[in-house]
Amino acid sequence: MISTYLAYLFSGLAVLFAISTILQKNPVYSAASLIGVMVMLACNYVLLNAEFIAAIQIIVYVGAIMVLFVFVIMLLNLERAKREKLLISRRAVGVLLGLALSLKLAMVGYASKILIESGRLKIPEGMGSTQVIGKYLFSNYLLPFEVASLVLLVGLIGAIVLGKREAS
Amino acid sequence: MPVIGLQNFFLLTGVVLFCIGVIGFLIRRNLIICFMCIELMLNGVNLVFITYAHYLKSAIGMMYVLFVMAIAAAEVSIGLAIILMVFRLKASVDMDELNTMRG
Repeated sequence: MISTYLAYLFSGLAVLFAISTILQKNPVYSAASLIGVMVMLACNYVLLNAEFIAAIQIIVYVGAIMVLFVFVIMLLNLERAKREKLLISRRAVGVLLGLALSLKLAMVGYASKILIESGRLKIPEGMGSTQVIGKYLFSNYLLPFEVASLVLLVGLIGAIVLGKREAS
Repeated sequence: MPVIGLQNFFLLTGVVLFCIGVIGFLIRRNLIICFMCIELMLNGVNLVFITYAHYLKSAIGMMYVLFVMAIAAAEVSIGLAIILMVFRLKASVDMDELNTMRG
């Protein structure tokens, strides 16, 4: 089935872009790799019947958040590719902790397989469409929706207040 | 589009993305790249949510993803403003230079 191979392709590319994100010296290349991760994840979401979330991912994550990152990187005007002299022991501890965490999470993921494949209903028509999201967002999840708008307002005010220069 | 039998693969991808974010957060010293690793972790979690939304036939996972994205947007705006302030104070975004509270 072609969607299986597409899933392998998009997920493999996402992981490659993620490794590139954490290993690049130049922060702009790192941001570009993160944009690659997000676009590949949006393709995965389309395969998983979540097309509204895929569109929102591109618009919000790539189009707003990563653009903000790139703006700030360019605003800071960092020195070109200073070599980070990090202790080998500190790197080793970080990598070991990450690998231990990944092992633990993979064990949890495989344990939940037994619960999932116990046969449920078929996928409802248009599950990931805008209508379904809107139906839930304005009925069951109205309070989180309003609170999220408040959080965004607080974030906006905070960013403006923190980013203002002192009136000298 | 049926992706039958791929649930474990998508969960594994989400876990791998999250753990690459954790490793990147621990081994990098540049504040902005650490912040990008936080976003990577959030994206890994989003993939796990969407996978479970698909395989449990419930749209509630997608609601979680919407709110994770909204909170991530607010967090990024304030976090980058804080990084800008740190840069104004120390003229660098190196994490090891933020040691004024060290005893």
